[in-house]
Amino acid sequence: MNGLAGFMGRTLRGVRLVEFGAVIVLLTMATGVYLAKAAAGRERSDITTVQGQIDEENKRLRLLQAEVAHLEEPERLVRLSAELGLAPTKHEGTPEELGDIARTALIPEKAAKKPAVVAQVAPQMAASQTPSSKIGAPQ
Amino acid sequence: MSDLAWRPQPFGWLTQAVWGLERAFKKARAAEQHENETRLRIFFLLALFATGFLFLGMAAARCALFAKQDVNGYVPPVATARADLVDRNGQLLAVDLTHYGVYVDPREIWDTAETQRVLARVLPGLQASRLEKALKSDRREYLIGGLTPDQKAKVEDLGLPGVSFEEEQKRVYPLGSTAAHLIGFSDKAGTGLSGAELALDGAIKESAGREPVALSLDLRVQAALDDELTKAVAKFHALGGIGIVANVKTGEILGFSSQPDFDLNLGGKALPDQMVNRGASSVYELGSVFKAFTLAAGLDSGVVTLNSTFDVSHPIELGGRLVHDYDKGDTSLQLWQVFTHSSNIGAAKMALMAGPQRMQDYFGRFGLFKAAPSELVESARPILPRQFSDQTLAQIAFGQGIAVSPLALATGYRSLMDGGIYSPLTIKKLPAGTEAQGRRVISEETSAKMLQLMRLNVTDPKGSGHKADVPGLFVGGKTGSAQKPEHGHYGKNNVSSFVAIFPAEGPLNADRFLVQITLDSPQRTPDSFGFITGGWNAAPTAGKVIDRIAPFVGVKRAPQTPAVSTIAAAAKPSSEEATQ
Repeated sequence: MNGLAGFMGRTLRGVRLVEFGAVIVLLTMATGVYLAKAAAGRERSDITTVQGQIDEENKRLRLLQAEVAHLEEPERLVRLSAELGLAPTKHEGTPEELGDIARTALIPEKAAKKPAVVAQVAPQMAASQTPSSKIGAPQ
Repeated sequence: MSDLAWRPQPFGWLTQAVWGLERAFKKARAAEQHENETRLRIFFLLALFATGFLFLGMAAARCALFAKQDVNGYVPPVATARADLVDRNGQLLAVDLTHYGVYVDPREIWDTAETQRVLARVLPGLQASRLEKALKSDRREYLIGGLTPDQKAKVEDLGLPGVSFEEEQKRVYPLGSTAAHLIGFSDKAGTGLSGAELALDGAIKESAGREPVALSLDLRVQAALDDELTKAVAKFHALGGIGIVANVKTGEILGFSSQPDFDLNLGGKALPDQMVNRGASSVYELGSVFKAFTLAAGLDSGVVTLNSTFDVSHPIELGGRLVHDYDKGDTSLQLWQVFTHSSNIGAAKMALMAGPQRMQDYFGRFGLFKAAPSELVESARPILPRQFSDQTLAQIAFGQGIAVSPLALATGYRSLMDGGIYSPLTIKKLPAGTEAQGRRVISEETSAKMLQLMRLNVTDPKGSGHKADVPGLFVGGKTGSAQKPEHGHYGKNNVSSFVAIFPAEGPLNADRFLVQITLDSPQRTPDSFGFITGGWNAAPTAGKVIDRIAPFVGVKRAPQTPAVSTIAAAAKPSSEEATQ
């Protein structure tokens, strides 16, 4: 108790040290709270701004998506294709085959010698057509 | 202590502490150490304030740093009322977009005449009377809504005082008239009124602002169907047309077209005739397409076999009317020929053999006596005969005397093609690998026979559906042409149909697709040689649709007919030179 009383009794230029300490703690805490609030306010403002930008971008994105969908409207594409004289390709294949198609186009004389392929697949066709022909003579 | 004993227990620690402090002060006073007593009191008060400030500081910091966003000044945008609608591949079909409403506050306007002149110029859709009334008002008034961001910018750039904007959501259909009847539309309040917008209203509202609602529709298939159907309606000068494409295994509707159609964004300007969903809400007598159900009933019940023979040499009298065959040269037909020659007499005789009770039971099983089970609210109930007699059922056997919706027909046909299980067609995208559950209506064996019959109807030179054939895709199907009832009797106009299946061959559980085309009142054209039956208009249209959509639905084309010619040529060397 004496130690505490001694500490409480110490003065600096007539003002007790403990009072200095208390004022410093008080100011520090007030400043801390102010700074924390100010920083949080700035952050909040930034977040609101960014959120607003995101919302605007989202709106714009949705608008653009709708415009893309509108521009890709099948009826419109058919009309434009017809104007340009385009028609669906008769070749059905995968995108990976595009290279082969390009190569075939570049060497037409080799492509012309391909009918052997047709002959190879022909038996499958013949086999696959058989079942329907059976109907003609039901049991 | 005793005088404090009455205090509430929760504050006991506080009273104990104050009491302890007071005792310390008393002790200090008793020891005549007044200075110590004062210091202690000051220290105590400072400590109390410090604790309070510390607590407040921490609470303030916590509020500032961890508070929820909505109390931080951020105002979220106006929520969309309805989720986006997309096709099965994610293509946008319907979307809520932010539009702007224009408001005017006359109290803030400096030059009313100038404002009136300028607004009338930049907002052509705005009624002059409305603008004038708003400008004479003594409060803020709503002028016009639905401004796009571009239109809003044009007005905003004028910098008119007293003119302000508010966000509003508007349903937009970027594809215009594509699949208009299946997609449907909603009102300004965000409630579905027709099509999928009405059928899936709950799910669309529930998913608003989150994930889109996916329909079973495949936009590529839809485009091909729309295009070919529109061309067919124009070519045959038909009053209307219906096209349905469905995945037989899953029951998903991949394409649905009803002509004439309308732009969903301009629904208010559409004619009533354009807004009718002919595929679901109209019923037609569909003619010989019903023979598939008749024969399936006969085969499944064991009443007939494929080589049962029918005398078709003379017309049959039903209800005082003579029923003829289209191909009048036939005398005796086997059952499969009754199908491919589309013999009314043969089908009616088969129905009479089976008996009214059995036929009624089977037609009921195929769902032909009720509205098609579908999410589409428009699905119409059929028009049935007043009573089921021998005569009426014999008529139904070849598709007259009963009017059903094309959707109901497609649903029934699906059960013929899918191993004999009846289940609804759906407009919702189903997870991959889903196989529809339903009730058995015919055996798998009968279903396989029906597939063979349908294929034969396209491959046989006398088959009514041969114009639907597409090399390598094994198309099968059945034609149907029925006179339209007009003013109480059958008139000269037809409803012509073709229900196709491809590929008709292969295992019963293979992926197959149904394509149904119906034309309302098609007219004769030079290249139909004066015919208006389904084999001349609906069948070739279905063939064209199949030819275009096969790659989209993943059906690979088998090697084509020239390959067979090559074999034939090899087998017959003498003809080889001729073919070359």
